Amino acid sequence: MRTESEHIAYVLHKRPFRETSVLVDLFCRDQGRIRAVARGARGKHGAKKLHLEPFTPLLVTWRGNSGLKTLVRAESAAQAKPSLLGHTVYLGFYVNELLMRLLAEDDAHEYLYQHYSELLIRLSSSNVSTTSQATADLSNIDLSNTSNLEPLLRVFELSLLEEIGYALPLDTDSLSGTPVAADTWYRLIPGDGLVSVPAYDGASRHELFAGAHLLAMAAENYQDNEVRKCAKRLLRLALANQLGNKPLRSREFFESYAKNLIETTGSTRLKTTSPSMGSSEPQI
Amino acid sequence: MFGKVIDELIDSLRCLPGVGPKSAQRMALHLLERDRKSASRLANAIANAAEKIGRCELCRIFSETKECEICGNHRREQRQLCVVETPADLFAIEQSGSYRGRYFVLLGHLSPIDGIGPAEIGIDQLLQRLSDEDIEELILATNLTVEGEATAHFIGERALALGVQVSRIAHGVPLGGELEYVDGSTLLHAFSSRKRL
Repeated sequence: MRTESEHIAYVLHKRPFRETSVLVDLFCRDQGRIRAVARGARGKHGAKKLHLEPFTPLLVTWRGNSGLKTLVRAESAAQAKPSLLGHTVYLGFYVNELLMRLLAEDDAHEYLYQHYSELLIRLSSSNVSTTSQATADLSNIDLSNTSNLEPLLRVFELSLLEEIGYALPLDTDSLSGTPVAADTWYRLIPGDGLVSVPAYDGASRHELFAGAHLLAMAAENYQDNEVRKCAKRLLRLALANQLGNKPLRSREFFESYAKNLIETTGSTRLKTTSPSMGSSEPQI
Repeated sequence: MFGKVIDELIDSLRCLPGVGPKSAQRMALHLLERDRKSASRLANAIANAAEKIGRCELCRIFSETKECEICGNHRREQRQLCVVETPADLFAIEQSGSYRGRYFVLLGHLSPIDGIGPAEIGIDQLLQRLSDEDIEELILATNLTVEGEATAHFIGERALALGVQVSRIAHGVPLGGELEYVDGSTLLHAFSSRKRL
């Protein structure tokens, strides 16, 4: 029996399939991540019938109940449309890759969906000033404002981990159950959570996290640069445990992008922190 | 079914897009039954092309010489360079007759999730050209998709850093388009880049 249903969704990724079709991964509000084939989407009229652009909320209709669905219609939903431009697109790609890799198919995550669409709107409003001339004006390329975007990504990553069942409580020592103390060091034990380190136990510094920073993260207070750095290290580690060995390609891309931009433009605006950290301000 | 040689032919024909077992069989039988002359001509042409055609060293499009006809044509505007995603895009622009400069073909667009980064689409080569040659204007004619825009932005930044003037093709209401049927985001673009008369 054919069943058709209408859903609201975002395109996470699409790739060519056969001659004129497209395989598309969608993040639906009430179905989670699904994969569908959009027949004829690359044909002459396909682009009109099936509007499949990432970062835009879509109203999609598909056929099929499980496994690979068949997309019947896709049009942009009448909502506030995020328009990511410039480097925020690269951040969007990163978030999409995370969702592609970490969300199981057909598993609804309504809260995460809400968070995702808010994230896109915040990302797009951050580049309002560059909308008219995305590529034509170098003076608008100011990556220092990405450091304002960084906390948005961190908060999203935390809620993503929580949604897929690997919540990372930032204010509790997961072994003893006691609250995190500001003056203690903690270590991330994969699968368990943060565990206090009694004294300096020989673990290298970059595996340790200061309690004060963790508490700031729990309060979503990312004003301090040190807190941001700590958050990035911690979430990288936590995500790596879920992602396995395959690296995130959009992260690699962004890092080389940020590095190159410093080299070519000689811009110091990027270097808000000491470059000795190696990954000189990759905001991902 | 017909013997090894024919089976091999049918199997080889299936490498063409849109050709399944049935059409491959039909093509093979047609060539053998009715048109042996064309068959050898086709065989020659394919062998020739596979052997001789390479990529133009300047713009990366298919060419039998080191420089393709467009790049080697000195009557074209030498100081304009247009960046397109695919050879098909280049042909579309050529057919419109609106552009007289030279091209650079990326053969794709940035797509970090698929592992396609700047190196895969020849951006280094493009930047090298920008610094070696006397190019006044770089026209970014990548697609109006999210990936195309990201690619344009990426190249634009680099080119501006080299002191080249960069422009992006316009986007908005298509010719013969009625506003009523144009989608919202296109209209938004059309309005934000409106022209003073």
